[in-house]
Amino acid sequence: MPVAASAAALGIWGAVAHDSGAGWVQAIGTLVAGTLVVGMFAPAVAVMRVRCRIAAPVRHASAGSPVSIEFLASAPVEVEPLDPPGPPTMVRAGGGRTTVEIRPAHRGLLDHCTVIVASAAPFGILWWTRSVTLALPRPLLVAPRVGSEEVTPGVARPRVEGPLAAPGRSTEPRGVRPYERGDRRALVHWPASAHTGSLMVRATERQAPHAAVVDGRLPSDPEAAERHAERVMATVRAHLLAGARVELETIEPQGAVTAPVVSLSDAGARLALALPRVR
Amino acid sequence: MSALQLLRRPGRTWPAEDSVVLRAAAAGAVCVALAACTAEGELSGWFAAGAAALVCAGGIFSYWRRSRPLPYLKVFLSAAMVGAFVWFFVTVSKEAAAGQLSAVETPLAALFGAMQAAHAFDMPSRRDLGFSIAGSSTLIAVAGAQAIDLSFAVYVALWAAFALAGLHATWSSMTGGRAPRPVAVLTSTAAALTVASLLVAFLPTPQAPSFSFSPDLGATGSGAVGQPSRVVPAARTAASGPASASGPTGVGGYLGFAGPLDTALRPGLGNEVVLRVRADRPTYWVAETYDSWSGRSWTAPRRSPPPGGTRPDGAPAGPWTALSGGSPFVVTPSDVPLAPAGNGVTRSDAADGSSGAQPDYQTFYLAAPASNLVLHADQATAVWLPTPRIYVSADGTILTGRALGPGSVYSVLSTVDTPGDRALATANGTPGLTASLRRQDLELPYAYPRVAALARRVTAGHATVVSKVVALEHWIGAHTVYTLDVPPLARGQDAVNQFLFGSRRGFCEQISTSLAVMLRTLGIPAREAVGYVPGRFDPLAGLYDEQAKDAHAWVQVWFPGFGWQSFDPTTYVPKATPSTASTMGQILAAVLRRVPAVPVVAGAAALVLGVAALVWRRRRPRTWRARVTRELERAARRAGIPPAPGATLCALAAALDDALDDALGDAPPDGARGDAPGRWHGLAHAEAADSESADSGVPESSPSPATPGSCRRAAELAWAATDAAWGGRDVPRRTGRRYVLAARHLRRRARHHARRHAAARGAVRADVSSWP
Repeated sequence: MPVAASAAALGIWGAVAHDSGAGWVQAIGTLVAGTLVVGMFAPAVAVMRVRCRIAAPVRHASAGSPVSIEFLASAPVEVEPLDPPGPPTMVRAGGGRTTVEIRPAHRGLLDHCTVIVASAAPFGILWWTRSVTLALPRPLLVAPRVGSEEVTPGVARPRVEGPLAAPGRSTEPRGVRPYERGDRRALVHWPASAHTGSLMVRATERQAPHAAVVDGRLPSDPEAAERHAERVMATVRAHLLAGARVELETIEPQGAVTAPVVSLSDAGARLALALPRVR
Repeated sequence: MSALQLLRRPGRTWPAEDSVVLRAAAAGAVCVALAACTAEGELSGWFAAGAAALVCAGGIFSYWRRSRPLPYLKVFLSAAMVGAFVWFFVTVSKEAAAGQLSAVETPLAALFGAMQAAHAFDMPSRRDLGFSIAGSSTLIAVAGAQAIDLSFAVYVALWAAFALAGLHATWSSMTGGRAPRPVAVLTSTAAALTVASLLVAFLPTPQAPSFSFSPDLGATGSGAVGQPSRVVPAARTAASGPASASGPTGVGGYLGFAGPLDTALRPGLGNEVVLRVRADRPTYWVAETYDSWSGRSWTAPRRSPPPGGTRPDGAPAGPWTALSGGSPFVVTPSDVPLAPAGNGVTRSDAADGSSGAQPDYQTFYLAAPASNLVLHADQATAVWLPTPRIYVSADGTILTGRALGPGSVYSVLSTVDTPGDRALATANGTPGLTASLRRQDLELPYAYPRVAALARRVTAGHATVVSKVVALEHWIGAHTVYTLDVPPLARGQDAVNQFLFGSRRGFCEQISTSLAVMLRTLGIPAREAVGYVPGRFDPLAGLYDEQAKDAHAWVQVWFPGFGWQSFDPTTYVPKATPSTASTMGQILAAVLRRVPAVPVVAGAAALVLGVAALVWRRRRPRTWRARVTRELERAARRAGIPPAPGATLCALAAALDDALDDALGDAPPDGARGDAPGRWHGLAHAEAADSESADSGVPESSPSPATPGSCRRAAELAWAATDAAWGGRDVPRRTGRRYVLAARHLRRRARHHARRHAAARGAVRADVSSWP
């Protein structure tokens, strides 16, 4: 539309200049035309020639939450992340890094990013855009959202009988006790062991609860799998906040994996890589 | 998008623009466009200044209120614009009713200027600033429509610079205010100019419409109508200030536009543009014609009034017809002796090879003081000229009552008839001319027997007038050469005889006069015409730039049924091949004339002095020690002391000192010679002072350099400087200068001594020779 309108205006201008015999009007018209031509088509060249890349992104992200990535461009362009989406940002040229915000919608492994590169250089008359898919230097693990409801209670069950070593961080020391099988070596209290002649470990104020195994096996339907992963995240967070030892059971590319997770990030990373259950 | 959304879209708010550079560029572009309109006469200076002030003030106001726009400002501005539109339409309607359609440019420029001034107060966003820049293009285009020369390029360049700066600032603002890279700016600007140049190269040349607007009547104003008894020289009646014609009565150095056309005078025609012409087609534009040849000069006695004869309207009696009533002045064919009926030639007969009579509009823009002659193509039929009265003579010459100054503009509608040779071949004889005219256009001061014989010989075998004219043109072209370097015409010598049978070198006046005289000897009515040939065409302005050197003289020959037809024999004449020496001399003279003498001579002198100083500085020894040595050696050579191999500088100085002291007879007593303790003590003291001054910078006491023995002291210092006690350092500057001066003084003494010896030897020789 702008090109057609400009061409029509210039055509009228040229006709008037030609028929009026005023060479200066024609000269000024050609100057305007030259500027318009450059202003309307140079952005296409700029967009086609621009080289973009993403530098040093973060490793973890959460679906629905904004995450900033560093963007580099060889020319000043406006970048609007398309997949995953994000707000448009003007990227400076000359090697300077500009932070571009993206907002992944789903959990998963994000190894590329599609952005719309736009430019109106050099006169700001007309914008030209181009869709560019850029590979991330390192895959971005997008954890599912932390849902509002947890997994059904039956999913979480005690897996290991007997006391386990307390996480330590959430308890206060109250003395030493004899070593039991399964205690971590870090808990060994060497002075007491030397004094008693047998291995003694530090005892905490209260005993850690039983480990909870959370079923992170996802259904095959993507939407259902997303919702289920969100619930799993909520469950893991609740158990971790309660000080429980959490083991997450997922289906990963190498097969079913049941392994403890010590943080929500661990759970998010596991769920980001999780595959749906095969019926 | 719904229609409602489309309606709402223009009213939405845009983000405020913070770029000051963009606002300054937009205001600059508008102000330059306003200045261009003023320069081209579209806007008055006060209007343009006021509009520019409002644009600047509005820009500042818009920047100040960019984030807090006044709610009712748009209403006031809209009302102002509506008022401006109403004024525009009323003005244009009045002008159109008065038949002055061409005057639409002035109110249009005023309307655009008012719109820009009003819009400047409501430019909060980047988009508004872009509209302002785009609007300035229409404003400068209105000015460009009236531009007639290349000086308008200054305004276009300035406007383009501001506009491009504004566009770059737009993109810079889009990118967050970062300054664009210079390479990007240069590249994009060059690309825009390249595209514009390509478009200019490939677009068709603008063509003026085949109708003419009436000229601007305000160009010269209406003054008192003078006496058109003769061509009024520009030097005496120039309307716009004093005349500056280079000749006594000429225009741009050409002497044929006032008074007699003296072919013995050499024209000094320059390259300055004297007028510009907008014409439908390039042709010869006639100023006046001459029909009386005296053997040296052309005159027009028919246009001269009888002594004391005047008409009741104040115009002189005679062949002049006064046309009054204002523009357009209709010059009816009866005013000039066009082809009368009954000559046996009709237009249908002339259709063969004839293009027929066609209207031809010309508008003349005078750029230099001119006479009161009105230029026109072929036969003028209507004249638009800002004067209440014009005068037309029987030969078609048109005069105004006052001279036309620079800036004068007038238009002429002519009838151009260019029949072909086949058509002209049917027109022979002198029908249509009255007896008096025929007698006058065949009149010769004497018989010209050689010219007549030559003309008859050349035209032998040619039955028609046109073939005779062409034959004579070819003969002249084959046997003469064109040059402005003609030999002077002796007193009483005939210019035609001199040209045809003498030098055969001449310019348009000699060439055309010869053809006219040859034709008259054959009984063919002919006369001399002067005017301008089309000069360089300026495609930007659509005008022919007429330089002073485009003034020309040619021949008009009478053809029954077709009137006076122009022939230019000069076009057949080759240019003279000048000698290499004269060409180089002319080139050198032309170059020297253009060289500004004072700055160039001053610069050359400064350059020579600088080079000399550099050479002297380079040849000068670098150390004071070496300078003292050189000066002493020179003094020794001057004193006639031969250089002794292996002699130290100290020994040389001692010998020099002794020789001069002995020679001058002012030798100090022995006790004060070099072995005196006080002297060596003084030397030691001087050395110590030099060392201290070199270290501390404190000036030491300065001994008199002219005292005897100072050369030895200098040599001692020079020698001492070579000693290891100096540690390889040079003599301090002040000490070195002092001893150099001492050595120079010694050299002068040696020169004086040598002169005294020479004089004494001469006296002895004279004395000896006088012995018997």
